[in-house]
Amino acid sequence: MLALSISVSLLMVLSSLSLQALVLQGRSLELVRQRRRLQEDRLMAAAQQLAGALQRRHRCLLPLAAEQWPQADCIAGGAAVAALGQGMAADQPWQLAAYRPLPGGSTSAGSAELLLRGGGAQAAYAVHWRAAAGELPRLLAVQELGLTGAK
Amino acid sequence: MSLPEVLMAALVLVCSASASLQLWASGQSWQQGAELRRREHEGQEAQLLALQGRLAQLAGLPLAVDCEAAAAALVQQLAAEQPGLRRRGQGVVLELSGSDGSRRERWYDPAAYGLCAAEGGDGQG
Repeated sequence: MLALSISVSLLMVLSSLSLQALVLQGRSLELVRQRRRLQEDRLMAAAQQLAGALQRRHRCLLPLAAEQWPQADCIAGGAAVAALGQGMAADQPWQLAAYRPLPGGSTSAGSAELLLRGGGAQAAYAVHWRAAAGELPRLLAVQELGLTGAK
Repeated sequence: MSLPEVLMAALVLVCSASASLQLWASGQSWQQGAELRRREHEGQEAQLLALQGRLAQLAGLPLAVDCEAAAAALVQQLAAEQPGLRRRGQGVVLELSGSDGSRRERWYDPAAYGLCAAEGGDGQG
């Protein structure tokens, strides 16, 4: 009788402990997702900040890769280029990892891939621009492509 | 089978059943909360996508000459569909709150969508 009772008790306790293990796993997954959302929000703010700076002051750089920015005629000095390479958005520092035009663009419209790093994460964006004949390009949108891994 | 043995078996069974029930109840309660939070996060993602969709629709059509006026016009225009949208700096921020006290906010610069006609001035994230 006692042995049967102990066996049944062990079974009940083990099954409820396995449920608790699932709960703990779920909590840790929730924390990971929450951190991910926070990083997405912060890096999106950084992407908006950089895109806004390009649109306001350096529209001529939109069709050029970041490596070509220091040689561009339309931007004065290395300090201005360096200021585009990093910043602070949503209380977090960010760095420009890459900005490169995507194939298929023309002088009247194009897109570029933007990679930003911050808070141990990296995120990718597509930046779309359009240019009227004889005018500098104007930004149309910053499209979020998602986190591309921790760096 | 003696009486003390029966009593001991009953005691062991009652104690373990009580402990198991408590663990099951707390697990079930957490799972219900997790499901609620998951639905809230999905709703928040849908709200973000809806705002980004609206920004994409408006893209390239300046709402005002300077970006601050464009941000104000954007908040006014989207007030009904995005009640959490506020002005911040030269842009707008969408604030989203969860029932568990969690908060998200996304900052958007109207200049990044071609919504302000003028150049010059600093953004603020």
